[in-house]
Amino acid sequence: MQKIILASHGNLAEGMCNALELITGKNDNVYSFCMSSGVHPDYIKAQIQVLIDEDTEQKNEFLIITDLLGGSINNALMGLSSRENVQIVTGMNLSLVLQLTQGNESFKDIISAGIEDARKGITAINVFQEKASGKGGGEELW
Amino acid sequence: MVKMLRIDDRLLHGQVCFVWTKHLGVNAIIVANDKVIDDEIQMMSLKMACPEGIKLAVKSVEDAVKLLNDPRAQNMKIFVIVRNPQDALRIAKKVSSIPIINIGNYGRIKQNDERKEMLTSDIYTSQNDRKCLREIVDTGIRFEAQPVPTSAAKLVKDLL
Repeated sequence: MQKIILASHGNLAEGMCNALELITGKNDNVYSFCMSSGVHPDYIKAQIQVLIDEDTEQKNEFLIITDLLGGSINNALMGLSSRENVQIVTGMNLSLVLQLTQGNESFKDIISAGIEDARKGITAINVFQEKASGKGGGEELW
Repeated sequence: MVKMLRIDDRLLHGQVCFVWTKHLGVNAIIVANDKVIDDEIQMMSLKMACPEGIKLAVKSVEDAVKLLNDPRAQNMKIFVIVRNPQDALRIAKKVSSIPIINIGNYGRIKQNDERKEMLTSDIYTSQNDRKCLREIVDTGIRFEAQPVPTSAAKLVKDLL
């Protein structure tokens, strides 16, 4: 089973969960952990650790998506990636979450390509328009 | 080959682009609509919405039919999207081997003065629409109402 853990400063992760559900429907395997003011990041780590440790035989695959490279959440959770069945990606945005969570393949196999595709989804509209205007009415299929 | 023909009045958007394309394993999307092809802003939105790695063709309904009946279409896994039941019926009558027709979001925005009834929370239909949906059922092609793959699929014939 694949489990997705979203972790962030403030309520970003919970909001991301909500946005994801709006698009993809309910998924009980998506969890959000929000670090509100006054909470120590290690507390978030401890909660996530419980979730991962419940899977005593390491049968599940975990993908942790954090909000900010270099931020406290990511720093606190980095140690969890030493486990074979845990992947951590940072730079949470909806495009990234969608790219990494809608297929059936192992998280390990899709992370690189998913990140590249998600990156292309961060663009100024006029830049996109300039690139796309050459394509006219779409592409030739063959 | 066609993997699915979907009626969705939002054409390409999150559910279609991120969820259905992966679920169906398609490598091409054909948006079939007679008005969109002349609308620059809608065309741009469609290009923005199409996922990386999936080819997008936006055609009039007639041209989409020609494309789908081209033998080379057999080598691609195609997701066909239309805006309304009428266009879906036109395609269903002229293209063979469509394995499934799906209706996702339709009719929530008022387009004209026709009274609408709720079929499901995502589908609102006028009398004309329902007549058209019945004709689609009569083609014999499996016809389901299902917004996303994880939601329960309902046979449209049971809803009418």
